[in-house]
Amino acid sequence: MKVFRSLLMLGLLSMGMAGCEDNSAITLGFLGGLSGRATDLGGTARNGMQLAVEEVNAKGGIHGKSVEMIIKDDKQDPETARQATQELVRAGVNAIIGPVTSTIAVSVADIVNDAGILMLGVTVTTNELSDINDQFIRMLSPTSVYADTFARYLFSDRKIHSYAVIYDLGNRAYTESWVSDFSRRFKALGGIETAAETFTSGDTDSLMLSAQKVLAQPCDMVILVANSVDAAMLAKLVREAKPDQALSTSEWAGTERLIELGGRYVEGALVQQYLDRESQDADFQNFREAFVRRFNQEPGFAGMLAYNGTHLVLKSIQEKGPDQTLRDYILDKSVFPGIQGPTRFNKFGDASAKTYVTEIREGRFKVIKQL
Amino acid sequence: MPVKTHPLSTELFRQMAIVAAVPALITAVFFFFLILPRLEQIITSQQRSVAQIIASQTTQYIESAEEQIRLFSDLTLNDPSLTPRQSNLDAFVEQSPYFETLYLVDASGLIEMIGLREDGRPRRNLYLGLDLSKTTFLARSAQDQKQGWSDVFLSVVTGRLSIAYYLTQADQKIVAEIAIDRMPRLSQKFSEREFLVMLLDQTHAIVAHPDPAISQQQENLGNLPILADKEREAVTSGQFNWHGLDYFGTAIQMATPAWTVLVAQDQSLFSRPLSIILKIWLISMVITVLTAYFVSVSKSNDLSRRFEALNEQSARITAGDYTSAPYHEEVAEFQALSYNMRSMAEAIHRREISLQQSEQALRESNARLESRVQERTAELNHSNKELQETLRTLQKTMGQLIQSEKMAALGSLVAGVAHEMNTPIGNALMASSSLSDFASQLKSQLDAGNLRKSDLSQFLDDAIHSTLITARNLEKASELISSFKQVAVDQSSAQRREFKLAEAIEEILLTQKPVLKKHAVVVHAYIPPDIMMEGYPGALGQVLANLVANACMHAFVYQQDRRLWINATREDELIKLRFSDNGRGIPEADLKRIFDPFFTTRRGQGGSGLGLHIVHNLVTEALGGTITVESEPGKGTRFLLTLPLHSPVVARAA
Repeated sequence: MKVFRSLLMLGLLSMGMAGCEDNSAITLGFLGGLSGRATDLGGTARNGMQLAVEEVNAKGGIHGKSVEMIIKDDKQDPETARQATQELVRAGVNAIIGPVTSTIAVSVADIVNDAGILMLGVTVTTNELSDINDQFIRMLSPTSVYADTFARYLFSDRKIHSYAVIYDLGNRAYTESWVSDFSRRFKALGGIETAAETFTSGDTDSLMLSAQKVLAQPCDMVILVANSVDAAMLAKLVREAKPDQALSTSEWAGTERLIELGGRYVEGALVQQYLDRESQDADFQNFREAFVRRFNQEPGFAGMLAYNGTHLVLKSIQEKGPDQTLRDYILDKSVFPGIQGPTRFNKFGDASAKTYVTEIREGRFKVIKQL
Repeated sequence: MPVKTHPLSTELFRQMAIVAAVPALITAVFFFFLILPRLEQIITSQQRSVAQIIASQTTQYIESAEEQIRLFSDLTLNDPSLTPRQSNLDAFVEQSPYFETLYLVDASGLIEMIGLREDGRPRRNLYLGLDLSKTTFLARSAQDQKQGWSDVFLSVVTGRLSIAYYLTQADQKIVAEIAIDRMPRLSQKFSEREFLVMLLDQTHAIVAHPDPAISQQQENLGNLPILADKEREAVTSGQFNWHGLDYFGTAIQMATPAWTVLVAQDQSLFSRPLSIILKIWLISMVITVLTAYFVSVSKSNDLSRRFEALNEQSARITAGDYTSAPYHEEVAEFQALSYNMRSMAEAIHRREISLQQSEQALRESNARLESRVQERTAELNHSNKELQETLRTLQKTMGQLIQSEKMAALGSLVAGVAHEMNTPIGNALMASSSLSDFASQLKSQLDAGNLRKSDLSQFLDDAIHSTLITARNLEKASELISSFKQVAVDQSSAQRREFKLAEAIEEILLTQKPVLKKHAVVVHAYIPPDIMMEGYPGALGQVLANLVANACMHAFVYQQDRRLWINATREDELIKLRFSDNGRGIPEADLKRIFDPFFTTRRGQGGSGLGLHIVHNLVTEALGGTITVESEPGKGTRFLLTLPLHSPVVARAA
C-alpha cells in the first residue's frame, strides 16, 4: 500500500517534472574486467567501489544528492573498453573508477583526456602512463617502482641470482612494463635471466607451452607475471615437473583465487602485495568485515584500492570549488586518508602505496617483509 | 455591515464547480483507497507466480541434474567390479544435457580423473592433478557435508561461470560442473513479458539476468531492501532502485539450491498507467471546471438579460410609471414575477394616492394642532405666572403664620407664667395686707392705751406667721420666674448646651400646664433622670409643646379619660422618645399627610396645619433625628422620636 502511494506521488511528480530533466545526481562510472579470467580483480574492485558508494549514500550522499554507479565490463578487451568508456562519457559521469588492468587504461586514456573526465585507475601500474599530466590518475605507482624493489629484495634478501619469467601478453601494458623494469634492475644487480616466455590469457596451449619452455633450463626462481587463474595453472605445471622449484608472482596474481586454484602448487611462493591481509588495524578490520558481510568474499587489494579511491573521489567532488576541476583539486590536496595508510598523489597523479612481500604458507598469505 | 456582492456568474460558477468536483473527488478517494491496494495485490501475485514458475523450473533442472549424477555414481563408482575409466567420464559428459565436466578428486584434493567434452580433451593434462583442496566448497565437503552445491564460481576448465555438484563416495569425491550461462535464457524468456527476472545465488550475486553480460558480472544485490533482511520470509515484495532505475519486485527463496528468484517490474510500467489515469482525471477535472465556467457564464448572461428586463420594469415603477406593460417571457416564474410587479405597481399607485389624501388631512390637522398648542401655551404661561404669584403669597403667608404660631406659643407661655405667678404673689399680698391690718389694729390699741400684753403677743404671732407666708410665696414666685426664664431663653435664643433630658421635659411640661389643665389631660412622664443630651432644648420644647397642643386639639374630643404618656429610653447613642395618647387615633387616609404643611382637619376652626410640619422639621433638622407615627382609629396615636445624644451642629431653622 505504502509502495503504491509513493508510486502515485511519483506519478504526480513525474507529471509535474515532465520537461525539466534532473541531471543533478552524482554519477560515477566503473570500468573493469567483470567477465573472464580477470573477474576476481575487476569484481572485487567493483565491489569495493560499491561499498564506498553505499556508505556515502547512507550518510546522505554528496550535497544531499545520492551517488549512482554505472558499471561497464571491459571484458579485458581494448575495443570493448573504448566503447564502454565512450558510453560513460556520454552518460555524463562525474568521474570513472577503473580500469583494473594497464592495457585497458592505456587504450582508453585519450578518451577521458578529450572529455575532461577524471579517471582513477585502481590497479594500473604500467609505465606507459606515468609522469603524464592528464586526466588519468591512479592509486598505485608505476611498475618501475614495484618491480625495482622486488628485484632488490630477491637478489639481496633471498640470494636469488637467476630467474625465468612467464608473462601474459593479454595485459601487455602491465606485464611488459613490469618484466622490463624487473630485469633491468635484476641484471644491474648482477643476476641472470634464464628465460622470458609469454602466453596469452585464455589460450591454454600457449600457457602450457610457456611453462615447458621455462622448465628447460634450471634457475633459482620462476616468476609469473599473470592473473591469478593463469598463475595458478602455471604454478601447477611448473611444480608438477619440478616440485621444489622456487616460485614468485607479481602483485597482479596476489588474490585469494591464486590460493584457491593453486592449492599445494603455490605453497611457498613469494607474492608481492599491496595490502597486509593480516593487519590488526581497526579501520582495516572494520572495512574487511563490512566487505565480507556485504559480498561474501575477501576484499583483496583491488577491493581496498577501489574503496579508498571511490571515497577520495567522492570527498573531492563534495569539497572542490565550483571553478576547480576534480583532477586539480585532488592533485592540489594530494594526501587523502585511506584504509592501511594515506594515499599520496605526486604531481602527475600517481599515488604511492606500501608493498609487502608475502609467502604462501598453509594456504594463506603471510607478510614477511614490507618493501 | 455592508455585504460584499459578487456577480451572478461567479455565484453560478461556484455552485456548478462544487457540483462537478464532489463526484470527481469521490472517484479519486475511491481510486486511492480501493483500486490502488487491489492493483498492488494483482501485481504482487503476478510477480509471485512468475517467480514460482522460475523457481520450480530451476529447482527441477537442478534436481534432475543431481539425480543424473547420483545415478552415474551408483552405476560406476559403487560397483566394485567396475573400475571407472577416463572414457566413462568423457562419455557421461558428452551425453549429459547438464554437465560440462565431471571429475574425481582424491582424498588430498587432487583431480584424479576428468571427463571432458571433445574440444577440451587436449588440455586434460593441465587439469589432471590440480589441487582443489583449498576451494571453498570442497573445503566444506571435507568437514561435514557429503554432497551439495557450490557457490557460483568461474570454472578453470570451461572458463564459464558454473556451479558444481559434489558427492562424496568413500574417500573420493565426484564433482560435476554445470555452466550457468544457460540460465539467463530462462530469465530472458520471461523478461520479454515486462518482467525482469533474475536468479541470485546464496550470496545474492547475480547468476542469471536477461542480459548475459550482466549475468557474467556476478554483481551482488545483497543490499537491496527486499533482500537485505536475513530473517526475511520466503516471499517478499517491495520497491528498490538498481542501476538508477526504480523497480517493484518480488523475491522468492528457493530450496535447492538456496538461490533467490527476483521478479521485478520497472516502476514506470505501472507508474505510467497510474499517471495516465491521473492525467485523465485531471483533464476531466479541467473539462468539468471549464464546462461549469461556460455554462455558468451563458446561464448567467441569459438570466442577466431577464433580470435586466425586470430591472428596467422596476426602474420604470420607481420612476413612477405604473402603467408599464408586463414583460413577456417563456419562463413561467419570470413571467409571473413580471405580472406580479405590474400588479405591485398598481397597488403602489393606489396606496400612493390614498397616502397623499391622508397626508393632506394630516397636514391640516397639524396646522390646527399648532394653533391650539400656541393658545394653550399662552394660557399655561398666564396660569404659571398666577401660580408663581400665588406661591409667593403662600410663602409669605406661611412665614406670617409661622410667626403668629410662635407668637401664639409665646402668648400661651406668658399666660402660663401669669397663671402660675398669680397664686404665690396673691398669697404674699394677702399675708402682707393681713399683717398691715394687724399692725393698724395694734397701733389703735396702743393709742387707746388699752394695749394688753396678750394683744401684743397675739400680734407678734400673727406678724411672724404673715411674714413667713409672704416670704415662702415670694420664694416660690422667684423659682417660677427663673424656670420660665430658662424656657424663654431656650425658645428664643437657639442656644446649644448640655442638658438633662428629664429636667428639660419637666420644665417644658410646666409651661404647658395651663393648656393641659384646660383640657383636663393627665400626663405620665417616665424619663430616666441620668440621660444627658447635648443640643437644642428649645427645639425639643417646641416639639413637645406642639405635640401636646396637637393632642389636646385633636385626640381627646369626645372622651373624659384623657392621658398622655412620655417616656424615653437610651439605646447606645440614640434616645427613643415615645409620645403617645389614648385618644381617638388618626384615620389611615390622613396618617400619611399629617407632617405635610397646611394639612389640617380643623380648617376654619383655628388650625393652621403647620404644627406637625414644624415638629417634623425640628426633629429631622435641628435635632438630627427621625419621627414616625403609628395610629389606628380608636386606639390612640404613638409618635416615636429617635434622637441622637448629640444633635448635629446646625443653625437652627425655624
